[in-house]
Amino acid sequence: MPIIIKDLNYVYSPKSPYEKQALKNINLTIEDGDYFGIIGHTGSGKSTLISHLNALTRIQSGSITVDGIDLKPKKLDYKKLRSTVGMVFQYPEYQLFDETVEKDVAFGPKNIKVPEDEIKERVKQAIEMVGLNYEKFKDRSPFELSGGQKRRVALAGVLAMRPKILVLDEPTAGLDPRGKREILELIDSVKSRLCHTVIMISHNMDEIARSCNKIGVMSDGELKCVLPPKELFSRRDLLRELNIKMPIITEFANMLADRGLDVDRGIVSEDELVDAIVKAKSAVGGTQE
Amino acid sequence: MKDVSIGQYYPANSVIHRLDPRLKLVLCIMYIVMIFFIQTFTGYALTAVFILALVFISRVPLLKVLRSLKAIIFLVLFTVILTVLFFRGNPEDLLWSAWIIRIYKAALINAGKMALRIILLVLGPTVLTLTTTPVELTDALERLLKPLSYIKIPVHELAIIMSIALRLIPTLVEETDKIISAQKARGADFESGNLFKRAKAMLPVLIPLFVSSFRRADELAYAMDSRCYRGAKGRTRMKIMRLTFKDFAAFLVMAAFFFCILLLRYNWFNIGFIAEIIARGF
Ligand SMILES: Nc1ncnc2c1ncn2[C@@H]1O[C@H](COP(=O)(O)OP(=O)(O)O)[C@@H](O)[C@H]1O
Ligand SMILES: [Mg+2]
Repeated sequence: MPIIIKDLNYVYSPKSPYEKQALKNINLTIEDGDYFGIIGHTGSGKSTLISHLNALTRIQSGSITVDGIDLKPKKLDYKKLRSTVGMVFQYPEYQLFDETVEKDVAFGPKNIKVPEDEIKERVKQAIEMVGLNYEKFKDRSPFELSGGQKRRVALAGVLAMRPKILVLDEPTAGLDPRGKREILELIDSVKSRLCHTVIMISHNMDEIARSCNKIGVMSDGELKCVLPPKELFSRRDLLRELNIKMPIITEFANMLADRGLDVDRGIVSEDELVDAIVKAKSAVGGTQE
Repeated sequence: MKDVSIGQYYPANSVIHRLDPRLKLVLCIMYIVMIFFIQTFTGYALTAVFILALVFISRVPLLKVLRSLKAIIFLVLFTVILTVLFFRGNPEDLLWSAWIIRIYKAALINAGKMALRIILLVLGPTVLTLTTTPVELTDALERLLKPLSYIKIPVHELAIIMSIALRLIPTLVEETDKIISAQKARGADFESGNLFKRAKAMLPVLIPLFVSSFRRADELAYAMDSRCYRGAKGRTRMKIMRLTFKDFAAFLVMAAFFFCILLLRYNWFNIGFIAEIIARGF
């Protein structure tokens, strides 16, 4: 079932000199199967918005339904909600705490009262799903792993709860280009195997354009627009107004188009660009002959 | 939870906020000393008016100031009750008695004064911390204690430890907040269960917090090292504190008020009668 957000407002520290309206009248529907990207500058309210989705931040005004669960009532079945919506925060490796990787990953399932024998199976599956060898890693301390491995373990800790909806806050922040790509590929595979709906915050337009089928743009607490990547990145006026950069591929396509080559200005993936160039070139070649 | 500001500083634009922190510290000490010279209700009333006037000038909402009294309300009640119960005065003073409890008129008066004294005493430092950032305060403290460094007390080092600690408090609060959110998202429950269970539930928060504190401390040490930090020797300051006219004026006001209190107390120049008149007025 979809995520439906209606007229959501949120104010931090109301009625104090630090008062700050972080969300202004957000209306948004995220369908099942969406890979939803959220972009926007620092402080635009992205993190505040997503922390509403598993009731870490409680609704002040407006309403939210997630997978048929109404988040408005004071008393909520938190366990159910949090096993439905898996939340991976920025730098999730900083939340690791247990002696071994296996125990740490088991923390989530244990909390939501998964039966003992099932926990082991879930943990094994989760660790393998993030691309680590279960036998090799299960007894190691999470603190002695490399940065990228830690992040995978943290991700496994969330996946072991088998959420239907996966929410990620800048999952690739602070990784090297290769680590970034690996994490994105991993999220792709998780999406096809476990979490049908994925929501991702990112500052990297290439990642967003590559992965998402819809992009929401936040600015100063408002949701400015929701568009498919192709449409968003081909609208230069909108990009300029919202002060958003294009993905490098799109920028490249635009430069080619500026020089007279017949390629679409909204291209967001390498393959598409290559195809377009080949097509344009052969067309040009054809007319010359 | 991020609205836990460091200390209880309340940002506002007032003369009191802009006074030199060293002076504010000295004035606060003067104020505290002064409280101990007060013996009459007149004196307490005058001081209450004085401190309320300060609060008004500082533009800090009165409610904020009073909130700091919440912490001492038990102390006050405790003191009052003990005084009233255990005070033994003249028999003709006895107001009420039952079983072993005897309540004297003098006890009530005494307890009232004691309560006023504690409350007024706390209000002074409260106004100070509401109008001065902790960093300013440590800086002021370092400057005032500077003479101690001649007898080999590491004043600068103590001050820098304190300012780093103060600086890190909001960071740690924020970090704690984030880790709590992350563990809650993994289904952790911090709200139910008995005390033992709850304490145990905090482990998944405390361990990452310690780990990251050590990491932070390490990084900070490197950063300071690589910028050639070598302690107090030969170190100059970015913000130089200067006393200005308003600081002198503030000092004069405080000194004058202190003088009035002393006049009331010791009846200097035989003008204690003024106190009598004021007291009648009340
Ligand atoms: N716990 C908090 N207390 C007070 N203000 C906050 C808190 N968290 C975020 N804010 C403020 O709310 C706004 C939105 O923050 P956030 O949702 O974290 O933005 P983003 O994730 O897009 O960077 C910012 O201006 C931020 O300073
Ligand atoms: Mg954020």
